[in-house]
Amino acid sequence: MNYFPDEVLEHVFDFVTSHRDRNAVSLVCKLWYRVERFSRERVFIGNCYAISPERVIMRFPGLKSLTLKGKPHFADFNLVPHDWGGYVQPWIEAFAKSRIGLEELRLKRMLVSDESLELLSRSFANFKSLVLVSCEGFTTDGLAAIAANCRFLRELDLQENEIDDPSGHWLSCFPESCTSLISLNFACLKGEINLAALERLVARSPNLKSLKLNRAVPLEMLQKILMRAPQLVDLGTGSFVHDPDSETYNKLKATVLNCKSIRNLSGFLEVAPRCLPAIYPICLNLTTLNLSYAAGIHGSDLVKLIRRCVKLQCLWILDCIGDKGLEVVASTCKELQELRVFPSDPFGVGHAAVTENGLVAISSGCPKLHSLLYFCQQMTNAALETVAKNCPNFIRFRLAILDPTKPDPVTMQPLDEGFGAIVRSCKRLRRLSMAGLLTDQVFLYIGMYAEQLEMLSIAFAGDSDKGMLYVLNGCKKLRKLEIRDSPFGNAALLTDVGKYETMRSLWMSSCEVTLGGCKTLAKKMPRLNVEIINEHDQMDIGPEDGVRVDKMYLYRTLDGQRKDAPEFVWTL
Amino acid sequence: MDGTLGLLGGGGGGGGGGSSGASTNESTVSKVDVVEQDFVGMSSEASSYPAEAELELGLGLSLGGGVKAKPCTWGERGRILTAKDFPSVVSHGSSVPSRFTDRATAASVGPVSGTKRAADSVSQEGGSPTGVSQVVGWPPIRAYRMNSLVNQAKSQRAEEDKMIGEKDKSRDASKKKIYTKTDPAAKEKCHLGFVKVNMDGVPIGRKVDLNAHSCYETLAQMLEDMFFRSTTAVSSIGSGGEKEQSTKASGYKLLDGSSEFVLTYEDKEGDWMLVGDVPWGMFLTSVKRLRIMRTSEANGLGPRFQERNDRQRCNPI
Repeated sequence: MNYFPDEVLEHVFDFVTSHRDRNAVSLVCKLWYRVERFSRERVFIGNCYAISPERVIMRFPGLKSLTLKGKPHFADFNLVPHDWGGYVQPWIEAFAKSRIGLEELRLKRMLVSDESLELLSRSFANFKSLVLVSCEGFTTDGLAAIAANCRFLRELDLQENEIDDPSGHWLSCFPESCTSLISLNFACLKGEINLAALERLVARSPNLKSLKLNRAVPLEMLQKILMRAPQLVDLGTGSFVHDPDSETYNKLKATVLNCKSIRNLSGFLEVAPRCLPAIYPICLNLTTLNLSYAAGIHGSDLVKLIRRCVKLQCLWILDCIGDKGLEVVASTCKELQELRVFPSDPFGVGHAAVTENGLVAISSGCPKLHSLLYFCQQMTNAALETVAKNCPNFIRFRLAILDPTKPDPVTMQPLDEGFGAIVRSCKRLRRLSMAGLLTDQVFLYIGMYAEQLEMLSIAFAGDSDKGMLYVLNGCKKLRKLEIRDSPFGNAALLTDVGKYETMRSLWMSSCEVTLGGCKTLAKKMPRLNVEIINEHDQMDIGPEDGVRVDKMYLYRTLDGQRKDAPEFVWTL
Repeated sequence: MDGTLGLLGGGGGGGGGGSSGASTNESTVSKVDVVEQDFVGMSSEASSYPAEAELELGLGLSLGGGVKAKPCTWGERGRILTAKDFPSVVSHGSSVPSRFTDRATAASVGPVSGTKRAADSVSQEGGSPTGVSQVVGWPPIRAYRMNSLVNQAKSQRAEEDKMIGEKDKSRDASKKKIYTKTDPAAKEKCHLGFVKVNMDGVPIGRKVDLNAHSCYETLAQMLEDMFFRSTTAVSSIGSGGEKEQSTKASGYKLLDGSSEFVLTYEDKEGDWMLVGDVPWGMFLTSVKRLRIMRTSEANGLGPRFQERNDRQRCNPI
């Protein structure tokens, strides 16, 4: 290895792109570590509190792209207080002070302020790409700063963020000289948009490939935009409502015929089903279809649409499609790899829902399926066993039953055997979420068979500490474990404390773990932050070690206790 | 009807068939009935179930004591549970810690029926109508998606209303999950009513679930707990400021104009109004977000502000 000059090594490392592989490369020897760190351009940090920005800067001076994740996953479901943490500001400040030429920033579940966005926009001359997923704390003023100051912006992608939009003028802040846009997604904005500014922006962006509009963009504007950007690959419609007998609609139909590159379609946040035929020509070539926000399309309109999408690889849909609709998917979409079925009526009476039959149909029609998120009314062991047989290639398998502890309705048994079949058959399974009535037995199966499992979500499951222990002992590659409302306590938590340093994080809420148990753990493992999230001031009443902890989140870190924890978060 | 408190009172049989063993789905279905009967005085589901189901406390798996109902034909499908069916896990400031410990204890009992647990371990605070809170975070749908579902439903209904030409406010109000005794058509689908709350001078906002309240008083109380007891923590990120004197007063402080702050809300038209001026139900249909405003700035909301000192705030109308 010593014979190669560094440049050769670096050139070889250029072909190593996944961050995990690069991490592995850097561990080989000091020379490789050195070459790797200077040549690394993309850094992924799964927990923003695992390391300080300064250390990242020191190690990777050539960094161009940073991905950061903040709050724990259960924050998506309102289990984590909004001001728990995950601020991006310290990162941007640190990077701004350094000589890092940041070009791309991707954030998930972080708190982002307008000040942060403004600082970002002013600090990096070559900044090109901003992707925000499930973030909050900012308004369209922050977006205006990005638009105005990032001269070479290529990508602004906002996915499912809660954004205050007091004014729609941010779009007008893109200067006339900005012609570099490749991707623009503002579907999650709730407010009005300056439509003229949008049209002009599209007109001067010849490289625009991905455009996702919000609800405020009407069909007439969609038609004009598609006229200007027939090269689009990725389209999210805004409002898709019009009189199908009008001239505008006919123009749209003609324009769509010219858009031969569209492969990914989404949106339809408002939709008049009679207008759907306009997009039929696109369906033939679609590989991704996301109708999970299109509550206005159901029944036969939905089926007609799906029947045309023979090349579909990824489908996100609402459960109003029903089992029958899923059978249509199964017979039409033979290339399907990813399916997500969301509930259209999470708390209502269950007529719009799918059952195990829909899933079985999909599994027999779509053998390439490897990623699943399925919200259903009920599930049976028999169905899961069939699915496991039909689709042994699952990488992600997430099931949610609207009644979280529902047993197999046919046999009244827990769903242990069904999930056992899944983990036995799907040897490449990396992510699993379970639902339904589950005992310790399912965890035994998981510990025994789920060798590649990296992320496991448990809710309302198990009988005793043994369940959690099976998982901790058996799943060698486990990185993230999140548990809620399950009877696991100190014995499970403390049996193998070293395990947690091999994992990114552990979340336990409404379990049996006590304050004393957490303290013991924190004492034994100084390189873990053990945080108790305490919203009910249990601790104020004189914390006793025997008190059960409501929410505990622990994670490995090189940075010690974080300094921005709010009052209700207690790091032990 | 075997009745104890709250969720575990008597009620119709479950919607599931089957024998012994883990039958929590039935239990929770029957709980739904119970809830409606006890709190609303009517249950539209009652007719579907046999009247004399006997309830035993069964599988305790974290649902506040499983309730086992007499089996009935499987032909009647269990309905999708409303979030009401589950004991509250956490809603900001409104639940009691001991509940979780009891629930967790029950959960470790395993699938054996007959573990009678005191109903009060699951009872909600004061047995008030708002006691049937949601299980936070179930089903596990990202909050953004949940809110957008709700908003879509709202706007669809609004359009239907317009088409029908009716401005039937009581119908509107009943479409929300308002759990008040006075609301006859309270069997409505439950949905998340999280709205943002910002306070002047505090950078990070919070969210409250309006559906967890049935009147202004409890809402104001919760907001006071949220903002006035942890204000320093929120506004000085991480400096761990001292706790302020707990203003655990009557819940009136934000509503009666006596404190430095008033509670206001933005309605559908974008106007800022003082909270408390309209009946609770109407408030729910029009509120978009809340703001705790400095009293000095609220003067623009003029005449109402003077009048409200005379009005009783805590009636759920």
